[in-house]
Amino acid sequence: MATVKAALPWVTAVLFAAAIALIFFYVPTDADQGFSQRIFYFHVPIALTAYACFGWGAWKALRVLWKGDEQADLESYVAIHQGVVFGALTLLTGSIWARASWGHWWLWSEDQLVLFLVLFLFYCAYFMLRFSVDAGPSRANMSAVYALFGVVLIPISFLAIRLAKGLIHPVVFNLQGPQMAGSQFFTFCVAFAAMLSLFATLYSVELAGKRIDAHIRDLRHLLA
Amino acid sequence: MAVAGRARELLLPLLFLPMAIPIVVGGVGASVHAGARYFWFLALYDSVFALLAWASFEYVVAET
Repeated sequence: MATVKAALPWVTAVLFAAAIALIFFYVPTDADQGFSQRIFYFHVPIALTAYACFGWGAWKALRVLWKGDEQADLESYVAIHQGVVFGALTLLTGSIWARASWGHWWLWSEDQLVLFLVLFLFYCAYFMLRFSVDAGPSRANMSAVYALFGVVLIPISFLAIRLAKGLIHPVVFNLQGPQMAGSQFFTFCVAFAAMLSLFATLYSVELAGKRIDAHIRDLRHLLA
Repeated sequence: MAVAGRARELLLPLLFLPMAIPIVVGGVGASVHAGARYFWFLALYDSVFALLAWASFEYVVAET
């Protein structure tokens, strides 16, 4: 486990170098959108990583409720914190792409954009909930229930907007699989793996920091 | 007790808006387009969240 953690930053660096090389030198330029379409290989993996963070946070939340695992509360919090960071990056990269491709930074008429913003704000409110209650098992339970509602809300909301069609935001993954050529899909997978390992690295670093923090607080408490 | 009460009061307003969005989309869809898929969607929403609310109720309400 320790060797895996030590190797994570290097794996991330290698994957990122590979992803950037593939995005700028290997994958063909999009016939319709031109060069600006390359931001797709950042934007979509970041968005999916944000969902993976929320999913991981919900899994840890389930452990809190199910097994009464006290460690899992902090792990759930850290995963959701990373998810919000990746969510903010999704909004940022999406906005840049929208400006280049549609000519607007933001379109309120686009359901997918508004929905992502709502989900992002939902997870921002997680911190509001968490930090307005004193630490303890009741806070752990409350945060865990909130995280579980969030992760169920994501697919339900997406189902709702897929039912109400008529979007200009491209839908790449549908029931027929990824709507991409082989080289594009390969580049996408490498970029996605790079983002996921970035998440894993940041997650383990933040978790280690938070645990040291808690440990120091306990020691101070003992000394005082 | 007071702490748990405060958190419970916070949970409802925070959950309300995002939870209401799928119902609004489904309800509007069901009233505008003739078709069963919005009703199926509303039924799915109901069953999923009824289950989740039932399962998580104890953890929110119980004093720990």
